[in-house]
Amino acid sequence: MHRANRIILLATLAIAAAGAGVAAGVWYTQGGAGNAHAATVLDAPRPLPDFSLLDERGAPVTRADLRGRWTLLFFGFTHCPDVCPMTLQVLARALHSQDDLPPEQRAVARFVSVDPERDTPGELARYLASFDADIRGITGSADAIDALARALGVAYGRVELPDGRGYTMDHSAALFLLDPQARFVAVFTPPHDARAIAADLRAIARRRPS
Amino acid sequence: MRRAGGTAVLCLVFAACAGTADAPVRVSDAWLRAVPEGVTSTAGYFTIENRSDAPRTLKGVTSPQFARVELHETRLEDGIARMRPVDVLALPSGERVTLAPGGLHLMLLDPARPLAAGGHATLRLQLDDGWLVEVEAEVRAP
Repeated sequence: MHRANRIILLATLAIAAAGAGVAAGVWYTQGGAGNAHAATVLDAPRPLPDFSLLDERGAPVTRADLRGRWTLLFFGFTHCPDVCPMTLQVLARALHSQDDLPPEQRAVARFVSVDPERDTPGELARYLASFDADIRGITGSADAIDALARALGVAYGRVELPDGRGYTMDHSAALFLLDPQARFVAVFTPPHDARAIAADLRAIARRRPS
Repeated sequence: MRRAGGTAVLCLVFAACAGTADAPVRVSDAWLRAVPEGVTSTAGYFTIENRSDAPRTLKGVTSPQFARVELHETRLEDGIARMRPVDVLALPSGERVTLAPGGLHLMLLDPARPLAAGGHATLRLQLDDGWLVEVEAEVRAP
């Protein structure tokens, strides 16, 4: 199938979440202080398949590189001037609110391109340089991105713009949390709130010490 | 341009139509995200109020700092962000329409040069009745 005509709606988040056995709401019944809880936590961590992709410097990234730290993944693309920067700003604020923690306990974030055709490592590097936080990039072959997205139930698809104005990408606006063993453990659905994300990151890390 | 009440707006109105009346719209809080070196698109936002008795339409926007400016809307549907072009923006009489992150926005394409936070860019809003409203938009960090 020609990629231009391909709409990859791999699965809606709801379907993915149901398939993964999400226990929404249960996680926080004992821990909350009444604040908004942004995360939906999976019943059981789901290991990611291995993958071979590139970071924003063009260096290889595999599943092993995501081990050792809590990692938030956001799937977007650099020709996305509105919702992607907005989400990355929230992410940056959430990451900065961990500055009181020892560095090895702070979560990091990765921006995964759903538009690897345009998003070379260099494009990602220029785009991410604007965000003052530990947000790095992931791009690579379309097939490898597909496989990673599929493992997390991330929906995305290419949409042609009228009048030959190129294309845009529809994409999940959620954030996907991996534990320090690179297992998918929770999802944050929009609208995103930096404080709620930061609070949930701490709560989840406390309950699932690395 | 000076900041006034948290907004950075200067309206220079060129009346293509006759008369010396005030512009039918008032534009406030115009800003755009900074454009780092090598980045080819960014988003801009403002609030536009139609102060006239008649409905108006925003037909388009241009900027001398960008090759192309489009009106877009981001919609969040079932957790999926979808960005779509908007042909024209209806401005009902007496109402405000706000362009804001995660919703209606300008997509500014192919900047002549990078734009750093703290700077300004010019937006020219074309109304259906011939008015051209020029606004200085503040460049903010992404």
